[in-house]
Amino acid sequence: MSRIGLARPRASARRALGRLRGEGPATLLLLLLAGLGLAFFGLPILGLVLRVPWEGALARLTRPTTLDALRLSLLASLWATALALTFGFPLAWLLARCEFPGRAWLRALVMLPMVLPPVVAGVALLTAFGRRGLLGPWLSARGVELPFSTAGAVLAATFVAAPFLVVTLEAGLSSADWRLEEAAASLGASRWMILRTVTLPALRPSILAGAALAWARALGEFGATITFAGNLAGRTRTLPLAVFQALQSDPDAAVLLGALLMAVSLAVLVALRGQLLGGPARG
Amino acid sequence: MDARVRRGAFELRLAFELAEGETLAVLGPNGAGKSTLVLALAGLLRLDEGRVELAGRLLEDAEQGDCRPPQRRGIGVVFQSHRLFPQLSVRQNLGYGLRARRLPAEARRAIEEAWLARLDLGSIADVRADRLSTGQAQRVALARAMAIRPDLLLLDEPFAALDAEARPSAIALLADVLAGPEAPRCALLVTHEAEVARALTDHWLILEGGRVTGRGRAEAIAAAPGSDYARSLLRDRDEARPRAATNR
Repeated sequence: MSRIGLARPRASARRALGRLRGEGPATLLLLLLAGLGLAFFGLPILGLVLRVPWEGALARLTRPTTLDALRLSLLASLWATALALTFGFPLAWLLARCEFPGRAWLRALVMLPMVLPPVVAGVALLTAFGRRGLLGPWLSARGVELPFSTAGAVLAATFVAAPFLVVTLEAGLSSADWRLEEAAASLGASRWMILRTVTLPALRPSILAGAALAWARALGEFGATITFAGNLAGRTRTLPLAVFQALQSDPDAAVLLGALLMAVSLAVLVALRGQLLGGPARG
Repeated sequence: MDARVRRGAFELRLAFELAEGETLAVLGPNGAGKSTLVLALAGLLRLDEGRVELAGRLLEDAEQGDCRPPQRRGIGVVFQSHRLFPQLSVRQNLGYGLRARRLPAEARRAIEEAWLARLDLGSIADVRADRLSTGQAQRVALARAMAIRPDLLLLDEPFAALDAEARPSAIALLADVLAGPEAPRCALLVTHEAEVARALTDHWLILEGGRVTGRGRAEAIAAAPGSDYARSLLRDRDEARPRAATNR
């Protein structure tokens, strides 16, 4: 039993734990491994917190370059979230509610950026919207230059963050009660009214959770941004890029900015913990 | 209605007509096709064959591919689990169909007030629907379906969720509404309980395995039951009375 638990700790963790209750050595081993895992995640975070140079922190954080990075980060991540909502909702709806051939493939395509190395995502974006990309000439002819622009940073963040929203929304849509939509239809409500008064209110928790996850992912976006949009101060240098930059000149500043980003991410996760565990969704 | 509807491996095939002012009880055991009938009439399930007409209007004709969406059928449905909009108040649930019809606020208000008073919902008008007792929810569901002045009121096991104590008054209230001045043109009550059917109408239709096995006055069906199920319905009545007296 403990052999199975060790070989595939994640898939059978819950079952194994149930079986192992009362089995002394196996339980101890499990706890030991869990403790090591916790230390592995916890130590870097502890290190970051301990190394934060509190002295002069305020001065560092209010430097114009830092404020620029902060402004850009907020701008890019909020735009990315808005774009993800605009295009992610219809996509999630399609995936959750419509039966069509190739749905599994479409879902895989939409989720791909979640597992793709962000640098590869950046290269892919270049091949599509870069100057010599598929749409590059067409965009250039209309005066739109996406690479190495703030808009490019927004695009890169959207690309990697949107899947988080789509996945959360799809789960919410699949578990939402379509029987209420039927009731609304029988009362004469148009599709639009049903969406507004029945579907969206029921989806509120999923929308909030998905948007927050996407926003947090967009805020931390690095690889795709630096590849597609570059590292231009004031234009595409968001906080994560500023951390990378600072690491070479002022490591203390890197730690400080890193701690700031981590605090924000942690706050989002804590605020969401109910929803992520499928907690108090609908009454 | 004269139609055939398939739902997975199940097939419902039936034809019936309702007279103006008639309330028809569709009785059948579980799996007889009662909910399939409700969904098909409401337009939530397409017919595979046949047609549905209501009050001289064609609602659906499978051969011609005509199908009025649920929105434009003039059918009010009281669903088994009520299906109230949880985040809306009693008043908002009640007025939902009127909003959908873009009724002017004043007219809507008047109808809402009338139904709140009629079904004794005035004191809970501003309570959210997910905070109601089943008895209250059932009345709101009835008021919501009636507020749109339906040509046909569909009642799908309307008392199934209610406990024994709440039932008699709920049944009496529905009977009162069906007989009152605001009554729908016709009503169709789907139930598996002869007791409920008997309390509301003596026009019965027996449905078993997707087929009609009896149609007519309750007494006529009692005199010559067309199936074992119909016979069992009548037996239940004889047994139900002493049980009701002793157990409840």
